[in-house]
Amino acid sequence: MEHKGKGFGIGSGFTSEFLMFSSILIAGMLVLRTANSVLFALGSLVILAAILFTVPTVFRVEKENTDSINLTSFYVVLTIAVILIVFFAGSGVLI
Amino acid sequence: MFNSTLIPLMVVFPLIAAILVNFLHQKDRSVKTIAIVSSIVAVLIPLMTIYGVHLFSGHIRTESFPEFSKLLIPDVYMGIVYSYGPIQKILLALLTVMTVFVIFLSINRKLISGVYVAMIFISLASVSAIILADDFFNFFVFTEVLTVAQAALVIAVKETKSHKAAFKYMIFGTVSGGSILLGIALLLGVYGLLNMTDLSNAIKAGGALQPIALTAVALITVGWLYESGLFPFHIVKSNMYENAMPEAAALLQLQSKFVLVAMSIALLRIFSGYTLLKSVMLGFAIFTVVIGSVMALQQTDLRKLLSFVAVGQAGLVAMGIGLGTSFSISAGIFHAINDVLSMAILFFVTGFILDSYKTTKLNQLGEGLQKAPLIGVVMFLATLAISGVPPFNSYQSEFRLIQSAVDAGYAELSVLVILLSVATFVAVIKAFYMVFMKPGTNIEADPKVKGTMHKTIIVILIVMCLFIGLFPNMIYDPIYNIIVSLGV
Repeated sequence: MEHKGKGFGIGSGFTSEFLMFSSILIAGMLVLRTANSVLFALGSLVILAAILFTVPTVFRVEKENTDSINLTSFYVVLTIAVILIVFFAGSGVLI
Repeated sequence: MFNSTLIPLMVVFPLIAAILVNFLHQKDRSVKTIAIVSSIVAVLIPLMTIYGVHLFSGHIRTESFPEFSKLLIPDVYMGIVYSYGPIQKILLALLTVMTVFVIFLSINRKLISGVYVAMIFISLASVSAIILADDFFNFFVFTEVLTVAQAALVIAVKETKSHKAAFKYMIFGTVSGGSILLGIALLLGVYGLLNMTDLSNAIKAGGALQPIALTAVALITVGWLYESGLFPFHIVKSNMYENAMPEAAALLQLQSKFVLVAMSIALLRIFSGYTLLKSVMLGFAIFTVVIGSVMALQQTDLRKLLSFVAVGQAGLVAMGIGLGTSFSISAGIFHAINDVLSMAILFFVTGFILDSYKTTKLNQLGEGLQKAPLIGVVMFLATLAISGVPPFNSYQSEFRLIQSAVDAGYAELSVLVILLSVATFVAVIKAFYMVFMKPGTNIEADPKVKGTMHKTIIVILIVMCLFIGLFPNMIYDPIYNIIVSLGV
């Protein structure tokens, strides 16, 4: 871990942080743009503010992406639930 | 000789080779000979086979489904069908060539255990069947066989963490396998069919999907995420790559990406009218590619870093497929082909580094360019290739991905692809610097390791990358034509 705080480690850290920012913002824009232009503008600002208050995000991402079987199981269950909800709700079965 | 009756041989032959080498376990010379001869024959079979459809036991295609809901299982003959066309030919040719390379490197590393080579052949047969199968159950059976063979390749490293990685992979494999099987069972219950083409016709004739069919799509999508190594299974997959021998990791990442392509085409064909599936695929692809790239940037071990790059690149392939246009799907498949070549070079370089220095920890390595200049130069070129720098192959596919995202109306995604290419470049060039250019290292390279085989193979692969980059239409055009004709 110690050499993450030196030279290339810092560069990588900043790059990944910037990548996280941009990805969340771009993904948010993509979703909101298709919904409504007012929602798009407001949503983008909210996402930007949320990002600025949560920096550095990359360490949290790293913590959630360890090879722990518990974490992976949690995300697998969450994914199954999300996929089922999206397919059912999106096809008008639930709503 | 050159006919479509050779189609089943692409699956049967590697299985026979696997049985033979397994039977001759510990007779190293015999295993070595059979492994080399069989792997070379396996390369020749896809090249000699003409395009066609092999109908096991004379399957008769059902043309119309006027009363699909009343269709009973005995009404439709459910024989296994293998389809062999240009996409299958390209994928199988690359798969078999890479298997030859991995077998040669494994033999070079003295990993000539009959069981180990058998697992390589079984995984080859499984991926071949997955690529060829037009029958959903046959497809499922071989995904399961592949899971076991891949886990065995990782277990062969004989380290505790490898055993743990394989164990976790198998545990989540049961979740995925169960999901796919239940999905197939539900589809069989609703439509009474297992053949993908018949299912596709039946679903089109049946109109909107019923709740049971929707559950089936959801369950099969979960299986798709696992087989492709996408979120949330990206950790399990990257853990497998990291803990396998680097040569085996090169094969595993290739197999995962080809299974991703085959399964995506299958899903898009069967549920061609269901647009929500593409959106879900796209969502998970974006998530995977971002997480994969971010995690790669954070790694301090070369094997772990490359594992996350491989996972991120799989996300990029899935992104092209998830965009859902003929152009983007073709670009996605083209990127899978390009990416497996570049990633294989990087994993083979890692294999050489592991042989020479007995470690892949970046902070312990350095000054490699003086000791292995050719390997260093090829790794630098592979870094350019994987980051989408012209004139290499990934440039051609990433450019098409960007263009297809804009064409599909998602200009934001094109920005994301560019950002992710930059992130991939930063991650891999960092590794290159730490291994080959960083001054001062405590570890001495093993002078006995010459790496002639590694050098030969990575030079062949980088030439292939350059060739595809200069003449992309040789690979891309057949893929595009088939995707357009499939109408997915």
